[in-house]
Amino acid sequence: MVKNDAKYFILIGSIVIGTLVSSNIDTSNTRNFKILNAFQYKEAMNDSYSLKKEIGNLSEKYSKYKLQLDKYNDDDTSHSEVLKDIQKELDFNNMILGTTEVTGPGIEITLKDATEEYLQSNDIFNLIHDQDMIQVINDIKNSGAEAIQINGIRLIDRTEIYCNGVFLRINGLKIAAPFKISVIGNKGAMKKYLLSADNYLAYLQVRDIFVSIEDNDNIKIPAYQRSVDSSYLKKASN
Amino acid sequence: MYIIFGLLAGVILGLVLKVNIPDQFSSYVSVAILACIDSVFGAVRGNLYKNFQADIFISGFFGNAILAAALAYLGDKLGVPIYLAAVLVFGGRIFDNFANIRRKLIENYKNSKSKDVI
Repeated sequence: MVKNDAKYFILIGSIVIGTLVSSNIDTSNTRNFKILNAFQYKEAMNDSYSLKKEIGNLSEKYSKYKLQLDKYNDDDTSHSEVLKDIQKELDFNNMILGTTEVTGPGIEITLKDATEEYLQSNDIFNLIHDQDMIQVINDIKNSGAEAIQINGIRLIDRTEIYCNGVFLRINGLKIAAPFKISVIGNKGAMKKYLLSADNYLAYLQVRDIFVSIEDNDNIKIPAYQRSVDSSYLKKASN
Repeated sequence: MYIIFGLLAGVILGLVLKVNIPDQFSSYVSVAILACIDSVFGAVRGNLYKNFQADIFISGFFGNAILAAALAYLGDKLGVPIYLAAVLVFGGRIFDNFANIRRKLIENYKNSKSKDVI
């Protein structure tokens, strides 16, 4: 009798164990396969690549901010030091925004109308137009420029370039030729890029327009003069 | 035999019922399972040695499982891996019991064989 009892209990016990084990093993964790065609595969790869890149960027940012936070939380850091850091960050942001004067090494590009040729041929291609300036600025931006000015006017992302009779209108100000464009950035790389045959400066030279590029280790670029309004901008909440 | 049958029945029951234990309790349940296995092995051994007692088995089966899970939970909260104690004790006892069961079964087998020969 005792023996039968034991078997009965063992059976119940093992049923309980089996139930627990099977409910504890996650059976829903089976891999889902999906067959993709070439296009979907490409899309998925792009997605995964951009997500990975984003993750990398975010983790980099995270470690940077964590370091900063640790520094702030550190008891040794005084109030003024925190303020100093904030000021530093503010200065940096202003610098990128273009609301402060900046200096650094870079190049100076001078563009002059081919006036004599124009007087002889009356060919408007001998003159620099707003479209030309837009193309040149586009090339300059693509060459890795960090700050740009034209005849003492700082270019920011809101800057417009329009034709205004014989002048160009930039940031609402009229400027006349010759145009002196100062750019802060990697001197060698920018120069090489801008002077390459398939860029716009080469095309301007073909039109007899005077183009010169000079190195300058101490370029000064003034601040953006107008106010940067933001009546409609709102921070997007994530 | 009973164990295998019971385990199979239990696994099927678990799959049919689809009881989903949340991930955070998974480790506690694991320790509880270990305690249950230990109890069953103890019961088998008791059965073989003819000293099985139902009340002791039942109290041990549930008591050990609950205690093990509770200890694991407490350890988690305290940041001390107390579940290791349960794993070590129950693991050790399972092997102990299994060794005893093995000996006893082989002994029984040999005895029956020698009786046959005689």
